[in-house]
Amino acid sequence: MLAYLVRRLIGGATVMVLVSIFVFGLFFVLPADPARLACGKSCTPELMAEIRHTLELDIPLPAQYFRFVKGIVSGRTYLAGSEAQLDCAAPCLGYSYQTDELVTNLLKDRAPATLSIAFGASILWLLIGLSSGIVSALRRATWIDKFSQGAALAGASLQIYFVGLVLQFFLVDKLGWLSSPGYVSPNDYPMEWAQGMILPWLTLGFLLSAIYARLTRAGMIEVMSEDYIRTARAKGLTSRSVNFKHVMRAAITPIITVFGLDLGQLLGGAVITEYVFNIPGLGKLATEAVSNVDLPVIVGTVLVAAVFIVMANIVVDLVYMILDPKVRLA
Amino acid sequence: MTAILQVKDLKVHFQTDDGLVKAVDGVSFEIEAGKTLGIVGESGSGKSVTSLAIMGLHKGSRAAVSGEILIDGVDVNQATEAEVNKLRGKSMAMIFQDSLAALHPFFKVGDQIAEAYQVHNKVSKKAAQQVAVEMLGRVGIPNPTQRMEDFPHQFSGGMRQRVMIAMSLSCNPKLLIADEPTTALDVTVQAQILDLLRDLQREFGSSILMITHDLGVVAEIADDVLLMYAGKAIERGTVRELLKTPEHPYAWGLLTSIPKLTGATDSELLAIPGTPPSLITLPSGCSFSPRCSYKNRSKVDCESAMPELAGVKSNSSHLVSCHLSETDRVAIFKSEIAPKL
Repeated sequence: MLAYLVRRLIGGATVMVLVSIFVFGLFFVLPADPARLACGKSCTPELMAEIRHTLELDIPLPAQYFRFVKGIVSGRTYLAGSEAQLDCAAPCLGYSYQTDELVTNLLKDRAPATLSIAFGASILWLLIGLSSGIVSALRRATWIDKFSQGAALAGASLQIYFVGLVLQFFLVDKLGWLSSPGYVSPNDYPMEWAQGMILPWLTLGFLLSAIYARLTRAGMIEVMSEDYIRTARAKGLTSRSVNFKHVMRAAITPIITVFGLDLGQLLGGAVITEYVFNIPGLGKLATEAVSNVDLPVIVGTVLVAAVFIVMANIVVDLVYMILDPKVRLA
Repeated sequence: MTAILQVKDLKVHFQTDDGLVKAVDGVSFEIEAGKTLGIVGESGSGKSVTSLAIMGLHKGSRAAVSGEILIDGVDVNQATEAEVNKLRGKSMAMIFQDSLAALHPFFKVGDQIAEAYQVHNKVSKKAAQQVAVEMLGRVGIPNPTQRMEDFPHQFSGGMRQRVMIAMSLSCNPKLLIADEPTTALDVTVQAQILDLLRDLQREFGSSILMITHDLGVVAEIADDVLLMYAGKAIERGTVRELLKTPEHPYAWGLLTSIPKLTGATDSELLAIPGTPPSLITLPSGCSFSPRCSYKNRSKVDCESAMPELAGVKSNSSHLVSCHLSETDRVAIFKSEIAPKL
């Protein structure tokens, strides 16, 4: 178990190194010159040379990458020794060209909004998805199954920007049942935070629950025809125990895998959701950075998203080992 | 002797897109306390479907079950799911052919056995676990306390079948239905499992319904035999009657097709010509007639009607469903079948 964990962590670290090389390469593949971008409107050749030196763009490429990685691991000092010395504590991802803020501070500011969306929405989609999938599987071929399958098909085919805006139009603008979506700190204004989050939660919850409803239904129906379910019935167990203990236990495993991966992806930034509802999360930060060619911020958001996805993969595999005794021993 | 199980005119029909499949079509039998009935037949003869019907496991499926299945004074076919649940595991228990598929892959075997006990006995989980340890020891699993914690895939096939047996006997059922319990096992392990079943039967006093296609298994363990073909019972009698003086041409075919160790090594294996009929479009009359080598010796047109299951003269317990007259059957058996056995 421990050896496996170490192996997975090494694998994850390798992936992160590759991702970092790839995103670091962005600085040099893009036609935009980072020094020129950081220089701003009133740029002179002297200023540009100075910035080039400040950003350490005047040293060889491998050395630059080394300093970039070193900055993440143990911090970095720009213009060391001079009076304009800039300290950037670990994990240092540099300064935004746009706002001159530390990228890590930007990420820290934006993360809570994304976390809020992800946790609320994931609970909702799990609840909706599992319950409608279970009902569908147990009431197969009845109107309730058809209705829930229809809703799932709709959820799987529709897009956030459509559903989100339609819901906003009716629930906020027309009916006034919900307040406008937005983000405030849950520590200071818990009620307002929840109110602002309801719409994004509902939208993501509905859309993502579709896949869970179908997975749950298909998984349960498949497990129901397994021999060991027949054995459970032959023992004299009630259909409730058979369905909720024996069937669910076997059907839940693949659902948890998908859930972990979805959550990991969402934590890296709910790009479209944040954009549609104007919520200042990591996804919105990324889109802003892309449109401004704010390279350090792009690199920062990509790395954070990659970390979440790699971690989600490792967690999912560990959970799988706990859930599936066959994997545990392999 | 009292009958533990009475099955009367059992029919199990499945409606499919291709037509009505008469998987079991009017089968009757009973099993007395402490006795073993072997139901023998090839794949598709309806033997497994019969066993599932007795357990009431067709409920909730597309199968249409009719007839009477009496156990403990309850007609399984008429009973509600809750009533059948009380019988399952306690009055009748079942072991299946593929023990790996039949045990839940995600639960420890100890918990699976304890659960079977707890369904019918209001005891703590701890007490049920204790019963499970005892049962595992009873069926000959070494270190039962440790093996309680293992999962089904950590057992060998024979050991896993022992787990199945422990689970099914945990509530001391009156009837144990064994659906090809040894088919997936090595021959040496098969013998061990059959010995175990026999020992446990003596100890627990259960009746056994042994579903098998293996006449060797029947010879080993059964008291009585029911031979099935295309969903119908075609011969019934004691194991001695069926193996020593079989009456039905199908039984003759089965017995003569067993290869002998004695005799010429290049002698051809005898097989019953043809294949089992489709259960949707059964041949008219006797369903075995298209494959029967002796139908031209019959004085009755074999394709006119399915013969009744009737007592062989001078012996009412031995029943056969054949148009051949008894004198013809005796003559054919003496001259053509007995020399090949």
